[in-house]
Amino acid sequence: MKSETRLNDHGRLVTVIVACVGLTLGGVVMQGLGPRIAMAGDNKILPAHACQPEEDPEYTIFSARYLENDLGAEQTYWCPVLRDDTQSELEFVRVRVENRGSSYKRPECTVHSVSVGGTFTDSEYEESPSTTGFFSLEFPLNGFTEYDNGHFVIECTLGDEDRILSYRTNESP
Amino acid sequence: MSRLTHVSLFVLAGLAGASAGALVDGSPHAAARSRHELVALANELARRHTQVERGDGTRRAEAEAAEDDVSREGPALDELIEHEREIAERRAAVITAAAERETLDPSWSAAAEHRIAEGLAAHGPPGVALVSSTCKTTLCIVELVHPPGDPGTEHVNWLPVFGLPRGFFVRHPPQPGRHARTMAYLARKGYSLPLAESNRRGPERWLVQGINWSRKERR
Repeated sequence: MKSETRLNDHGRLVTVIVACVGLTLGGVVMQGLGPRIAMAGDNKILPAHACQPEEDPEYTIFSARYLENDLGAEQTYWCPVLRDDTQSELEFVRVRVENRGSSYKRPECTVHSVSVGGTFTDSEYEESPSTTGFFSLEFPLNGFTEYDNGHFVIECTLGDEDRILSYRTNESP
Repeated sequence: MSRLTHVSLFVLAGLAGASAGALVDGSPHAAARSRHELVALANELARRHTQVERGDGTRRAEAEAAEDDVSREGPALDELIEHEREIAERRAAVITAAAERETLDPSWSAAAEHRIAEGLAAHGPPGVALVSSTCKTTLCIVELVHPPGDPGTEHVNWLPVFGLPRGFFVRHPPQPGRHARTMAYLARKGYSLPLAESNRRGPERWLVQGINWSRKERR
């Protein structure tokens, strides 16, 4: 009986030690990951489903993997950019598209920085290569003006059956 | 990392410790006690979750209220728009001066001007006419006039129309005796539009009527 109690006491002691070690390790891991997690918060990847077609949504195919223009002609999509800080800078934008080559029109996107009053706009434009396949349209946004309290929006025009997969924005304070 | 996550990790570490303890101490009584402790810890986790969520909700509400207060104390919309106009005019002047200083690259400028005119004719909105287009080596300045009755506010993605990758656009609303105009300041592929403050990098700040304004540009 006594030895069983000693064994149970021993078990409790081990339990406490393991819990303490777990907590310590957890703290170390959290400390190490904390800044990375905070940095990752400035990078946002949105699915193409956040984009709105200019025409009737009936002519857009939404799947888990992509948004596809099903209009039978080129169509424009508007993709919102979330601005966490009203005075933040947009470091870069990347839009992942697929040129399926079913029309002469290749996927092209423009990032707009629009002033509060809408009178002034800074824009940067990229188009995918003419070959078929997946492409990342890169917008380094050099010499780009980000208007305090203004907004950003991405405008993409797709040929028939072309796709947007996702887009990524990086915001810095 | 949120307090909720901290608490969750704390309790999970406790659960892990209790489980490990139960494994080490294999007696049936100890196992029963461990189960009891696990249940107690799970209940504690649920209780703390509720507390933290309530706390987070309160803090969120307070932060939102504070942000609302800041918004209310911020500049009025007409002040923002007026200041933007000042910034844009200054920027347009800087780009214009830079374009005037540029030497002429005849191999590019003539082709770029031609493409701008062709693009407008083929893809521009009906009635919008080209007043002038001047391209030098890396910059083009284009002036467009809108037809009578057109306020010039309709969105046109001018960059693919003109075949250039970067642009700064200024809308001029119609004035008495003058139609709406759009000024397009464009950069050649591989080049950027010049900054308003060419010797400065990073945030610019002004103090206008006691309000701090900032604008950020990068090369």
